[in-house]
Amino acid sequence: MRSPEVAARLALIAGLAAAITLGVTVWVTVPLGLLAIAAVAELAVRPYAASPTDRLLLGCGAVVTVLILAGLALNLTPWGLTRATWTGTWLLVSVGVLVWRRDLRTHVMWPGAWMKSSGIWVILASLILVFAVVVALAGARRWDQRPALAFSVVSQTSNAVVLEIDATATTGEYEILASSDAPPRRFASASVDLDAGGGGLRLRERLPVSTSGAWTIDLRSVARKATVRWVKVNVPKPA
Amino acid sequence: MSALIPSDSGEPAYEARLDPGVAQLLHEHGPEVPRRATDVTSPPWGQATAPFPVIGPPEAPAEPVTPAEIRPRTSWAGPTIVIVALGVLGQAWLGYQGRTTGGFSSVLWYVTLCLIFMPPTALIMSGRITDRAKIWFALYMALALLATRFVLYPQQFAYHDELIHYRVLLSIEQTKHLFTPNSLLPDTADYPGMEIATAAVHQLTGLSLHAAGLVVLGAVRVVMTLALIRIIQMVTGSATAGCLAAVIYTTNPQYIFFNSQFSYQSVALPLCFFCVYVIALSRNTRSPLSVVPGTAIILAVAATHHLTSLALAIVLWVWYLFTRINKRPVRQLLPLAVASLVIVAAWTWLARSVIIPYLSEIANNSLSNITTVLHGTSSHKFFTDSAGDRSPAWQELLSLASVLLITLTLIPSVWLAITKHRLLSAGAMTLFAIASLYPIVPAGHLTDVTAEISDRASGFVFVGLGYIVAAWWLRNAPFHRHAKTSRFTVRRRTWLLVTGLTVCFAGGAVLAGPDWIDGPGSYLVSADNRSVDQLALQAAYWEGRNLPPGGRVFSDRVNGLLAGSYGNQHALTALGDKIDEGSLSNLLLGPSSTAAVLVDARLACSLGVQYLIADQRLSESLPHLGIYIDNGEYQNEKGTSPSAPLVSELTKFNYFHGAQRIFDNGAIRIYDLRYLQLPGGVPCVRQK
Repeated sequence: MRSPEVAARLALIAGLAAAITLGVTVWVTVPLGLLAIAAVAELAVRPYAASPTDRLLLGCGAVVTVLILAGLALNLTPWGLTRATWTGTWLLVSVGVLVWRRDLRTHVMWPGAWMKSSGIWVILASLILVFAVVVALAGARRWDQRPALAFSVVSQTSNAVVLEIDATATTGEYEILASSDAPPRRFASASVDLDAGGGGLRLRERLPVSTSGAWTIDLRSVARKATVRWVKVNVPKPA
Repeated sequence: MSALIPSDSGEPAYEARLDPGVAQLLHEHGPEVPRRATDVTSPPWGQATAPFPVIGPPEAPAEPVTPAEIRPRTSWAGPTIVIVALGVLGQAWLGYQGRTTGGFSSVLWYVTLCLIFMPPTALIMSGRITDRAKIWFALYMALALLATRFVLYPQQFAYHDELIHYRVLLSIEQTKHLFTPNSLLPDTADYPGMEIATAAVHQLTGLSLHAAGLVVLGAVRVVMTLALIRIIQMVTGSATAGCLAAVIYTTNPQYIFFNSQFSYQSVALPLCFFCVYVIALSRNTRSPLSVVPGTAIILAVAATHHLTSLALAIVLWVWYLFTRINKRPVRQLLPLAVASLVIVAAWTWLARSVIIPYLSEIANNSLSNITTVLHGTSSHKFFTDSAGDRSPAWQELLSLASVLLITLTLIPSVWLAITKHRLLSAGAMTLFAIASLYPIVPAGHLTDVTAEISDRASGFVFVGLGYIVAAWWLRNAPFHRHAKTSRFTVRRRTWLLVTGLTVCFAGGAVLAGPDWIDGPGSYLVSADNRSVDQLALQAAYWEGRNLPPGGRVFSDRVNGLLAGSYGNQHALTALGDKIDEGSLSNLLLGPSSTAAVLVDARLACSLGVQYLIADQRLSESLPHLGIYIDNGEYQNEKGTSPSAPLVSELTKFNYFHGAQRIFDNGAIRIYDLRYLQLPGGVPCVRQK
């Protein structure tokens, strides 16, 4: 292996380790990681593979197998399967492969003839596939943006209950009404204007309670004058 | 026409050709005929000749070839690439429509799926492209079919098994160690191979857990497709046969759904193929170290899935047995067969506390279902789910046609194999034995439980089926020396083959499950992917944010899965917690009378149920999967015709003393049962 190739491979290996350690954005770590893993796997299996499809097969199979076995081994260490231990394993394995395959030389060839005949079709298909992903993600986003309104108890003490309103694509004026039967107590909050878009809105309201016992807490729509959600809590006695 | 045999160089050079005269001798006299000088050591799978010397469309130039030579020699290659992409786009559009309008068109789903399947199949079998191009197109099709799952569910796992395995993955991320118990399905914690690989990709690339899972699934799809092609190519000596076998394999009912899910078998099965490929590849190496790669892959399979690793061990032993019968041993096969047995036995022993109850339950349920069929008391209805939704007639016809076609094809294929058994190598005999299991796939559909098992078995059976049918279709030998070549056959027209395969492919997808399993749409009761909607996810995410991790939660099948995965709770299950499902299911499904609720409250106390998640939409219909919660639940025990629970039954803890209703999103209510007050002010005494 010539020096420039060794340097390039070492840069790739170290670059990935550094990117993981430094917590670089996924837009960098994803292509870098996949490229680095592919390069190391290809180098490792090359002598056993007679064609690109064999290299792909052996490379993918070897990567999955090695990851599983490495994970089983890491589980035996006190640190387990952490980002640091995976990075260490990556360095160990990739440098090991580089040393193991030091006699191999890489000739990168651009599949010019193939690209000439099918390049346009491949590019067109790639664009369609990208569009398919965009459509799929748009559908998922639309799905997440359907109206939803949740009313819940987040925490409670002897003198207060913290309530949460989690709304998506919901608007309107709401109020919180709390009531306790024994002894009879009522509490009404100031009205809350909800204007939750597709991204969702989460509000927390602290409701002071003066007596222990069971409290029923309603979320009422001011416009409809009806309870739309309700919860029930048992307020403990003060310690 | 020249026959093709594999070379013995240790490299996969499949293009060694025999002179036509020698090939004819081999056809007539079998393995006793002296072979070429180059074929002196044991060829792949211990074979003596190409077991089913194949003909068919003209074979393309053999590898290695130059880039110019691999250029597809047909003007249809480019459009095929685009049509497949359009099929994926069509699937994405269907997913979009399903999410935005609630409707999901089954007809369009099958049409777009066939757009992905049919053109590459036609191109591969047309004989107009090189071997290498055939392989790339087979791989492209396989990956495009996998991509359909991604475009339908691009952001999160939604199917039952996916959520169970996502729980294992989350446990690895949280504890940094393996084997954390998983109450959703206890045995998955002891087979974490897929989750390890996913966690590694997540850590090394920064991808989200879901995206990392998709990368792993993509990698193993590559492994599965190429390993299958190469294995069949080694046995038959023909890349076309390998590609045809891979195409036939895609027609198995599990291919589109189960083997594309984030589930342990989706990874174990490709690794199983990979193991066989690697063993065949290194068969002539004399070094004892040559068993290391095979052993490593066996260990990876054993750490990933129980039944697949067992199947791998059986295959290796059967293969070894056939090499003994053929008296043509394959070097290193015995040590690897022994290693597989030892590794699988050891791993099973380590996981015995979870795997034995799990497999026992499956066996018991299957036996009980078979007994009901034999006694004529089975309530199983073909093509109808438990909620009464019936598949359209065209789908029924399609699936019946696919089973019929496969069976009709198997008859001459098996006949050919039997008449030519002297030509079969040990590997070919192994594949033949696997193919002969096919009848269990359609027969298993007589009951619900066995249908699931037989469909899963199709992941193995179709390997043998792919080989035997491909070898039959591409044969050039008569059934016996006095027989006509065309006996029991139809004329081998490519359009006929492609049409038949498309029918089998679509029919296989029908057999995989009811329409609603195909993709997103409006909410359905207990219908896995169709029950995981925005409201269910909102509740699960709320649990993850606001409840203490590991809280003991009881809920229905889908909300329990979501609580166990996204909610980070301990969902109580019959298998994971050794509880009696019949009585515990009363918390949701039982009557709401005061006396009954009191009994339920005592039970909740004694079993340490901390939170109860009640989805009042369960009252809308019968469960599409046959159960609201789990096998043995209240509805089944009642012994009467099942009916949907009432809202009052689902929300019976609204006013029970001490129970707190802490979450309400209109559909789902979460009750905090930690401070239940039994009559007389007696506090709940928890035993767990």
